[in-house]
Amino acid sequence: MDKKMHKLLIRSFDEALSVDEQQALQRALENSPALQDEKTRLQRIRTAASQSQITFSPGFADNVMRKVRQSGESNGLAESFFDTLVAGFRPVLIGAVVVMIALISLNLIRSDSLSLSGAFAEPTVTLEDAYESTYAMNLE
Amino acid sequence: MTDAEIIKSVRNGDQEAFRELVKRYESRVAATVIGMLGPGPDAEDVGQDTFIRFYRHLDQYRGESSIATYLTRIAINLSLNALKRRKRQRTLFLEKPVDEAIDIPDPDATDAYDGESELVQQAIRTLEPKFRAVVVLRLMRGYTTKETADILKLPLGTVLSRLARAQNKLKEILSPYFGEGHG
Repeated sequence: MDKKMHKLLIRSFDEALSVDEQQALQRALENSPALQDEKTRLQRIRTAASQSQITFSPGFADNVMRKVRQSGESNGLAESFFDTLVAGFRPVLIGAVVVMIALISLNLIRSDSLSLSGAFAEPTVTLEDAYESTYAMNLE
Repeated sequence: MTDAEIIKSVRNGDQEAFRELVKRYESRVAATVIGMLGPGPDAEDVGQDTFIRFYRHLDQYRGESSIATYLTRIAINLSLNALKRRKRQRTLFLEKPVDEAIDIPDPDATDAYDGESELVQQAIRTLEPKFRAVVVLRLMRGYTTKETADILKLPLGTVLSRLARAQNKLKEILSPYFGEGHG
């Protein structure tokens, strides 16, 4: 069986083929009994899948409603506490971020330098500063 | 009552009104969950959890998609989680991977399966979860490929590719039953 036509056949079930592709597939089906059989097999599988009659066991709705009533009585409290926590945390987080951005901006403006040290207002201590202060202490 | 009226009633405190929604959509959720997990207590639990989750988050349902699609999305996600849990439990307890193909009966024992539909369902359950999901939605539930892609939040090309591979795999598994000389 021609692999290219087989791929086209599979695609034809789930995609819209172009006019050329449709014609090519039609010609291939007319000329190849094997491809025609393949189409029949795939169609049979798809039809059987679509006819599945599946249900839950009897009393399913009653079981769901029992859980709905139970969830309303107990878990509802836990859920509402968690929801309240999340709802309360969000504005606090946003506020904290705004304050951080404001402080960092202020520090950058004051330090006149765009650096991490400037952003976090770290005191800049050079080796000279450290040496001079130590020397001054020794002289004393 | 329409679905919208039922939802309004439930939001206003009428819990029992939710029972009508469960009855209306039970079979669709069953088709999805049992298609993914097979019949049994797992599927029943996941089916119930689907409706419970919908009930708990009813205030977030805005009606952008139909209730059937909304429930199907929940059902598929919970089913995929259940399949991951099953796999983890097997690994944790050092169990051999369950060869679900064992469930597929001998092709010559024609009284061992109840029709082609059941056979195909069993074959679908041998597929890897990512292929199983597209087959359940497209072939069993009848969603279009675009709807399937929307529900699974996948690109359309991925859905088409998975469908093609899944169909080839199903054909291999079922060829002893659906091949020449059978049926």
